[in-house]
Amino acid sequence: MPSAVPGFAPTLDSYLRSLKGHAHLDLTIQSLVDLLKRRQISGPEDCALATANCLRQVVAKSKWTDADTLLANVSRAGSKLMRARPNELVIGNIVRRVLGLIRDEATEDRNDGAPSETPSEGQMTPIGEMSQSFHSSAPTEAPRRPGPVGAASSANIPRSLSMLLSAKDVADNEGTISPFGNSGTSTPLHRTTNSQVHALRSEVINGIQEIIDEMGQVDDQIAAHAEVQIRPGDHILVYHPSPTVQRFILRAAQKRKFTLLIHCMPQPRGATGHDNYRALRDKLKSQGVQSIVMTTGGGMSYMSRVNKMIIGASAITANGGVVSENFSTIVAAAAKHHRVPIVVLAGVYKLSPECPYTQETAVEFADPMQHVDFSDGSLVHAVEVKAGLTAFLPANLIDTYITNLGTHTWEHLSGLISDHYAEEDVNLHLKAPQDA
Amino acid sequence: MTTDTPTPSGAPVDLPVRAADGAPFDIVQTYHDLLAQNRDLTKPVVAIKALISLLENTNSVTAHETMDVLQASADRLTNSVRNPVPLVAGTHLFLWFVRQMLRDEGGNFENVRRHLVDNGQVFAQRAIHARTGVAEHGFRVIKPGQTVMTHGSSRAVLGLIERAQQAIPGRFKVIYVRDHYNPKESERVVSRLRKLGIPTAPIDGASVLTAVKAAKPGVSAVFLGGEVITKGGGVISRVGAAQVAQIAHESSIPVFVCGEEHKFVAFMPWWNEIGFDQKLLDFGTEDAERPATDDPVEWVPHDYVHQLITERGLHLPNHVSTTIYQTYGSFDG
Amino acid sequence: MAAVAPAPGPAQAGQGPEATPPPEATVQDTQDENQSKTKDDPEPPKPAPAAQSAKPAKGGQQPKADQPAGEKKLSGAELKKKAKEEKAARRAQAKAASGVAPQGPPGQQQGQDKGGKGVKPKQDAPSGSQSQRQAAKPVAAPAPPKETKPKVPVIFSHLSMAKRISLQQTDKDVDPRITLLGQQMAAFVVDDSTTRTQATLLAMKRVLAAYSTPQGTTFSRHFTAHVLNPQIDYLAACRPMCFSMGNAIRWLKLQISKVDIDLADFEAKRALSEAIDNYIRDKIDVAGPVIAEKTNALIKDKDTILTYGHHFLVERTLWLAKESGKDVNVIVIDDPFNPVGSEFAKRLRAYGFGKIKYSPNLGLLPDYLKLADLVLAGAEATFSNGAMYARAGTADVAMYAKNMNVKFVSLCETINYTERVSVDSLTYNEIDPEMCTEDGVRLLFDTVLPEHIHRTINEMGLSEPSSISGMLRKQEEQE
Repeated sequence: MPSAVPGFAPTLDSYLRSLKGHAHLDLTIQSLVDLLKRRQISGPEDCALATANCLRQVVAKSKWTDADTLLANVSRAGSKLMRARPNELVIGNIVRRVLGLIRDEATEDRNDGAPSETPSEGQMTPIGEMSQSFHSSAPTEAPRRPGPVGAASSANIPRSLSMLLSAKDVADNEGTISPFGNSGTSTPLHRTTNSQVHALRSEVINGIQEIIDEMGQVDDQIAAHAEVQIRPGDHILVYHPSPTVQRFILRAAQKRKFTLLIHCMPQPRGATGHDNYRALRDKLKSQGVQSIVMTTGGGMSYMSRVNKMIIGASAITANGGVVSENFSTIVAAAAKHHRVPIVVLAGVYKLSPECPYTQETAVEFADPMQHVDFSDGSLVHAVEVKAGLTAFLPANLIDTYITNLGTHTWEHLSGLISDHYAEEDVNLHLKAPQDA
Repeated sequence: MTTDTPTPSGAPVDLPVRAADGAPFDIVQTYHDLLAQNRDLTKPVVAIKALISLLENTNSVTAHETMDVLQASADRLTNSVRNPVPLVAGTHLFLWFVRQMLRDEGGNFENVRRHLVDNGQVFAQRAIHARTGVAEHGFRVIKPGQTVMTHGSSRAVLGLIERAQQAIPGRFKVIYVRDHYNPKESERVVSRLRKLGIPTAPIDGASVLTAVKAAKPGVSAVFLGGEVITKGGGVISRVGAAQVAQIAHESSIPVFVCGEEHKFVAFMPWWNEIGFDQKLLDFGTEDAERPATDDPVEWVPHDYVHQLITERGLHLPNHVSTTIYQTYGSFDG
Repeated sequence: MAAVAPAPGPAQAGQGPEATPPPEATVQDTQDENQSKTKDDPEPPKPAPAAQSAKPAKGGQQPKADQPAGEKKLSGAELKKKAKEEKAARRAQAKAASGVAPQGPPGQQQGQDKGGKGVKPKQDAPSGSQSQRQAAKPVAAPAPPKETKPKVPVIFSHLSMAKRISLQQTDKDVDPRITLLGQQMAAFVVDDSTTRTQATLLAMKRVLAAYSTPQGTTFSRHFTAHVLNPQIDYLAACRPMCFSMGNAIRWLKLQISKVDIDLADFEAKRALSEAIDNYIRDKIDVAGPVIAEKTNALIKDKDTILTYGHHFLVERTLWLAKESGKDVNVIVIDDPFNPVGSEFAKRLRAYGFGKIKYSPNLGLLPDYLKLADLVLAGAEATFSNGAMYARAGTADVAMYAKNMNVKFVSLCETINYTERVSVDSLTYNEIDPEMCTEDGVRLLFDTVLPEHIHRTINEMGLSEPSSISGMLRKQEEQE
């Protein structure tokens, strides 16, 4: 999805610049909330970047003397941002990443001196490998970080099974039964000294920078898989290709001769989609890859000629569904009918532990009732007016997910989620407003 | 213990256990008594309670001896019932936990015993709370204006539906598939749902396909519970559940298996291989009085299951194996 | 006309006679032609690619190729002679037409005569467009093109597309009424298959009326070869023929061949003219209202009907439903590249339909289908396996409807049935000449699979798609 319109309207860039100043933290948070609400910052990439930067300010500038307070501060600010745009799942993902980061760093600081028994987790977490620890996995962008504590300790057993009978928490009824308690203090993080605070602060800020760097590298890393996915002579279909998808296609074009079909919807005022991807198409042409713009009502008419469909995503939900552009479901359904494999490209920061079932508000389907109606005989093209409407592709349409960590299928998702998010943060979006 | 064949062999063992009044401790009787007294608890948890009760009454001294007694009693218990699988879910978890705790306590069995015996009530409470957790995590699946479908009388499922009714009263409907073998129970469930103000339509198992196709705007979700949640994410539930799941699956309706995680077993059934002998097909050329099967169950394959709802949240079906592996260190539990 | 009440409400916009006004409106005597044009379409049709309102929405297919019983009356020698003449004509045109350099990835139309349309070489209804494409191959040194051949991506190069034959290039044998009709077809002013066929037959009637057999030949021999065929060639060159045009012409030739050799000209012409009138009456004028009635019987009070784009059979049915006292809701989903549904929705509103929803594209189709009880769609043609050839996007609607348990009903007169078979959307299709460059295409049609069609309704009644072949066989026997 495109960024905000350039010009006088405040954009991501100007927001980021403003962070360099000395504005009060509350103002910083509030201005982002406003920008999000007004969609002046929109699109998952921009929203994620803005969120990460904002939270970095929170870590740097808010008052805290122990990890718990820091968690609460971040949680509060993060929830505000999430509520500003509840349908942009990536915001919640970044908040949870930061919270997880804080927990990890704090735990590590506490365990300082105890040698770790497990090897550090490298940049590329092996896909599908069950993580040893349930609730404090290291984010994979930090190779230096020691791995989680070994599995031998009963603290790491999935709490549900041992929880029933365990001695430790006899008096403690949190966690499993009240999923939205306070920010999950199953591993209480104690008060720390000043120097520890300072250390924690800089570590977390570094960690956030790593997350930001990770986001910047995503397209490149995803594109590395292009030549495996696209084979010579393939007819590849894309729908309104995002920059990530375009990058992917261009990378493939360096090595492969194939044909690209771009399905486009008509632009307002009658323009066709031909011009939209002019730059992409010219580049492809120079590599000898032909591209065809399909300007046809549905997907079924030409799908019998397509080998593979590649789409981007705003977010991937925990049950494998994909939040994508309106109308892409229609094309994807036609693809599924023709047994055309559908591949989704998205950085792992777009993978959300939320399910559409646990969302208070549905992903921006909008009830058709509120969409369109005839008033006084005149036609209201309400759908056209509403830009950026999204659609939700259920998991059964998707064959493969490609993230910056590699190629995955639906089976891997739960592992990826537990690698990146702490269990106590999963239900962050359900917290009551007064807690934030 | 490999749990792919959960029916352990072995004859009942003579146990050096006596109850307080001096009579020999009867694990089987204890189990059934507890089951009757604790209608609120699931079979796996009652089995655990029975074993704890055994601990209370044991006077063995060494850890080793006690473990033997426990194992033997567990075997005896599971052998004594026709359908041992839910009991195995409990006894297996319990025995494993005792071994773990023993190790943690440096072999001090007395500590372990005291902890377990003293906190029996707490465990029961937790088990019940787990059921509430299922409802808390799952009630949002039901959205206003939807029609959902369910079968059987799983307390976890009904708790979820009731929780949804609290959140969005009167704004969703339930199609309830009656259980042919438990008509009175079906009546009770329908009655209870209706009393809560939930518009409920009972149908027979034979009508499920038509009901699903005819419902407008369509069935949004199916909720199933069961005695045990099996490896892969399937569930062993009342007969009728598999068909409901299959029909839902074919119509792209998500099927949610709801249950507490202590129901997980490292056992993968295969149609009528569900851990005990349940006579399904009885071909005969003569009319003869054949006794009706008592409380027949069947396996709902994980192929039909969209997600699990447990006290820890919503999960993909492979969550069972993942949890088993992480808990026990192997896929076999 | 049938017993059904007259025109649904006020003027129809755009697509030719939808439901009522006498079909003759499109083609009349020369003096009236200008009038009729404006009545049907706000803009006078131009020979060049037309204005937006007459956006090409549907199209036809290549001409019918077959040898029904009647054709055999033309001797082998006749056929050979015809073929030679055609070939000569083609060569002449090839020299004038653009030389297509066969290189370049965007792919010219590699017009192979074996194109996926199964045109048999012996066909006697030549495809002008195909012959043009065939010209591309053998030409070694292309002359500077007088007419630019549009470039089509290779994977669609087997599909047909309307040519724009300028008036200067028209063969002198072509009757001016046919010329006009051809131009209207090329501009998609006369657009859907039924209307085109009807207009064609009426135009042929006029041609017939103006004809007199020259000395030394017989009517049945001369007319077909020397008068009828050039007209057909021209029409097909303007825009590939739809299946019903092929059916009608085949029928006409059969009738001509049956004319008694001794019959006087005026007698023959009168008989034929009458036959044409009857044919139109039965197959088109009566069929439409009958279909509307049968479809209306499926509609219950308070039903919500969803439809895609616009088709006059659907419009007629909805109007009839309202007239018969039913309160129905209508959802119109439109094709964003040819939004005919927009005008349709406005008309419905003007008719007094209270509850109408309109969506400019398929994006929210599943949400709308949740509200719908029935989906109605008009067909451009029906294949003998029961598949439906319709506006691109219809197949998506049908597939979704099936998945969501909403009945999808196809409306189609038997004149639009063909014994051909299609199981995907790229066997038979047509490219929008307005939106075809080497960069991109728009396809006009798709094929709805029989498994997604609940019922198909023609003037013979309702049936499931799998019975179509049986019906066609029976019809063939009767011919």
